[in-house]
Amino acid sequence: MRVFKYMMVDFLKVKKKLFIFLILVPAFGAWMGMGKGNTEVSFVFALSYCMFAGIIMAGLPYQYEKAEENGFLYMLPGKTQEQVFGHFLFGFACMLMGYLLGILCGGIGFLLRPQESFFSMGELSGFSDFIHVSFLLLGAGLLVVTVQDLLCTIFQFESVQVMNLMRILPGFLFFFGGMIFMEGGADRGMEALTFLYRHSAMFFLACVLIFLVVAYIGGRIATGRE
Amino acid sequence: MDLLEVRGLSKRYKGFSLEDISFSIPPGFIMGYIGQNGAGKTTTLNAITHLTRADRGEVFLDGRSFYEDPAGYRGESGSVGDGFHFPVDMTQGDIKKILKSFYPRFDGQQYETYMEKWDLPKKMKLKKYSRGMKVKLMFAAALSKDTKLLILDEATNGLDPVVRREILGLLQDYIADGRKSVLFSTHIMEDLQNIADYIFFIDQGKKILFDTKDELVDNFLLVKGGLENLQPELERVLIGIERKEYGFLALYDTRREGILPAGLTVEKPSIDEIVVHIIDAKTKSF
Repeated sequence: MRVFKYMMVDFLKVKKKLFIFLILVPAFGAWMGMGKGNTEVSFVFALSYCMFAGIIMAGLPYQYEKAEENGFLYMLPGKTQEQVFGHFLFGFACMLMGYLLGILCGGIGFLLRPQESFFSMGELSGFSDFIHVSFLLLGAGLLVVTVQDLLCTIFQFESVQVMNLMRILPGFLFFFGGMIFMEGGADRGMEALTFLYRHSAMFFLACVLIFLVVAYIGGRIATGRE
Repeated sequence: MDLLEVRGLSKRYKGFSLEDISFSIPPGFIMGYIGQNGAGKTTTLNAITHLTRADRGEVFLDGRSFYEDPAGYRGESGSVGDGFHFPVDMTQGDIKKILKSFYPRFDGQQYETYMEKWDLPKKMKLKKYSRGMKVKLMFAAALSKDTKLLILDEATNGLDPVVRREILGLLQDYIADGRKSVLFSTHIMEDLQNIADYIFFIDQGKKILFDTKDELVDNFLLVKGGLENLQPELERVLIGIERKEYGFLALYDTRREGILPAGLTVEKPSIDEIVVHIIDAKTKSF
């Protein structure tokens, strides 16, 4: 399917940065996983950091789509809708890679510096609760990538400054917003978190559905410009 | 059926408008699309390839419009432009992988032959390629794709004469089977003099001439004479008169009624001379 071919084009475009992503990011993520300050959520910090890096990676192909390079992509025999969906899939793949790296890094960090509790946040603690929370993060990360890709598709041919903002802002909001939430401790937003926790599977499925719908909308927007 | 049909193509920008451009190219021929810088050549080609959306008009490639089948339309044409449109962090090997996956009839062997022939490094990032190397890579990619229409936008700029001649030979090989065509936009008339079958001359967004090259050359004469021969009646029928110390040089349209006076020298003009004198006449008429 051509959508996957366009996704492959994005991987080839950023392959040098991908190498850095797979080596440097996990190293720093493992360091974060070793715990600093509030050690009981350090695993989550490592996870969200790696996902943040994945979200930044997801925006990179748009950086390389300068006016001249559009000739190459737009001349490939495929529909613009497929090209856009390929970008969205690439974003999803990067975010997923970030998630898996984060799990790995958090685990390595925890093993290198074992803490009393694997995970504790308010009433939630232990491995099983961590899995639920990590799925919530996965869903939230997917939403962020979806929004980022839609913004990049809409503003694709705007100025470099606008595009850079669209590529970077969602990821920063995800990571630093999440850190503020975590550092806030048990009281801040626990009601919302508990609700989402109880419906984590549905939340994740809803995020996947939103991803698919928004990818379709992004494709229609891009096609409408032709 | 013509391979490429362009009908009433129009596009407006601030300070420039492309107006009502129509032409067609039958399969097996090369059309030269000529004009000065800023005449509208690239705008036309971008509208044909749908890099730009035209305000009005239609384009059909092998009987299909872009909107009927975008993937098929894009697959049937190859393009080489003045700019370099490959992602610069890739290598030529990456380009081959992508083209192979998107084009079922992509000839990888042919691509490799061009790489070796033109000595294009395999592992070097494209951003380190020289201008000449970039153009060769674009041609290698375009010629290996088995497309029906090749669109060249100032593609031979910056190439040394040896490679340029080689490329022009490859273009003639490309159309040799009678099923493919080339649309070649350039302001290097010498290239077209040798290989073009049709000439479309555009200036300030409007069509000036469209004819076969042979008809075009037959329809004009290059007239030379002494300044004393340049009477008002003669001036009225000449195009783009160039006055020099030793005499004058001008173009004459043989389709006009009347005969040139005696004492003048006439010869067949080159395409370059036709274009220069017509542009000169338009400039002086403002």
